[in-house]
Amino acid sequence: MKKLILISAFIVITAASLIMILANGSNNKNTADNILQEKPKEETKSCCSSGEGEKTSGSFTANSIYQINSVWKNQFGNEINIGDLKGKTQVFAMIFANCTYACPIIANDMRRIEESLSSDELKQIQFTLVSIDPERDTPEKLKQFAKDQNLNFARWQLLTGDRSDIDDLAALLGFRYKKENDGSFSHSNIITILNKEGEIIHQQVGLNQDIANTLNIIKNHNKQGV
Amino acid sequence: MKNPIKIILLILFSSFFIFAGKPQTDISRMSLIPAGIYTPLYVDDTTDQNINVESFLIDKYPVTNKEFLKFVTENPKWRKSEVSKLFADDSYLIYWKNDTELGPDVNPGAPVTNISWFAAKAFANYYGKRLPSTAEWELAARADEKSANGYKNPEYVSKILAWYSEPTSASLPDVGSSNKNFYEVYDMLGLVWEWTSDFFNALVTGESRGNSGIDRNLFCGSGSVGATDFTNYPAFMRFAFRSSLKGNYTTSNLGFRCAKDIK
Repeated sequence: MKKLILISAFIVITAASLIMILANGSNNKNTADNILQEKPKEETKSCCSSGEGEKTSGSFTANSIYQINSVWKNQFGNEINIGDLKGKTQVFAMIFANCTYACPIIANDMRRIEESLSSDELKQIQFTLVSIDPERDTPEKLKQFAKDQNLNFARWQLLTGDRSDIDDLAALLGFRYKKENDGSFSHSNIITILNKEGEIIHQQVGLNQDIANTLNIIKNHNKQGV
Repeated sequence: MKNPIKIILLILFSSFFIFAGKPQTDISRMSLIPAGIYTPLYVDDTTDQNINVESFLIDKYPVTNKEFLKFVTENPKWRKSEVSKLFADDSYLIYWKNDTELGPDVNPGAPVTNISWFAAKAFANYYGKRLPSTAEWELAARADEKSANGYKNPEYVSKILAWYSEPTSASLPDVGSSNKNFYEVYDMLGLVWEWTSDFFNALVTGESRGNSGIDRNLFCGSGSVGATDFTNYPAFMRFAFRSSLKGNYTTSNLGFRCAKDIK
């Protein structure tokens, strides 16, 4: 028995050594590649940061969440950079299309906000839903969700993207979520209002809330923006 | 049946050790954690919530001041005077002398703390790694010195609790100075708390005692939640800590280490 273990130990060590050497080799390459990939990204990101005082990244303000510089696909399959959201007040939430309980209510809460604003006010406002379920929420799926919820594509967009970018957004918004084994998600119910620069100016937490306060904030921001 | 597997695992790990003297690539300072099952603390009792974790690599040590200094030197946007407040709050690297110097009072070999999740994630990306998920981190931390699951050992649990109840010392020692576990991963418990990639999956509201459940209006998801392992107090403490975190939050006892997929 001891002999057997010794022999197997010898074989395993030899094999492990070979694997280690191979792994180290390919790993070096991997790391180098990754750094090469990362560097240009860093350069473009840090290119425009000004010195003192009001710091900006790109053309974004210091508190703009659009600094995360991520690329998404909308319900038509078109690429949308997060920075493209700049310029309009955003009524913004994170959802997943297979959600049976909360997400339709969130969409409905956002539609209540939409219905309470004048067509003039709505010109400066966009309604954006970001999926937390990129594996299942294809642009087509999101388009169907929007149709089921009667969302007007003139004002609404639904985005899907990479997990890492979703996590960045979640961390910025204080949105908490967890994937369950049945494929669904537990998640916070938050509607965030972003001003035209992409700064968080208000968050409505919970479902079926009174929207009066949120409406006031949007209207006031719209007035300032004109 | 289990013994031969243990022996082979040990041999595998010792072979890692033999090659630790080779030129240091990231892998030589990482340990292999075999695939396992992580049972989250709070689960809906009607569904299976075990998380299957594939085998992965994790840093043997938390990232040090010296290592993070190199990163910010090469990535100016993460220097403390440059970083956006959205990505790191006011106490980010607050104990460093300036952007590119630690100063005489900072131990270069100690774990870097006052670090935000965004900064930790950027560091990991830069080196071709990533942050460990909570499930991965917990799986690696479950091991005590002699076994893959130390939570069955009351002594181990009380040792961790003793550390959690101590205030963080003013100056931290070198990484590698506290517990080394079964996987040759150091300092999982006993030095600093650490970021996980998905810290935001700890869902709790103000009232989270006992079996109160989470508020369905605030959180969509399971109606009733129950705890799976009431003896695992340290994990409860980490759960509570994670549930209080935000992505730009930094504090003096929170650091990080990196993980990597096995390709």
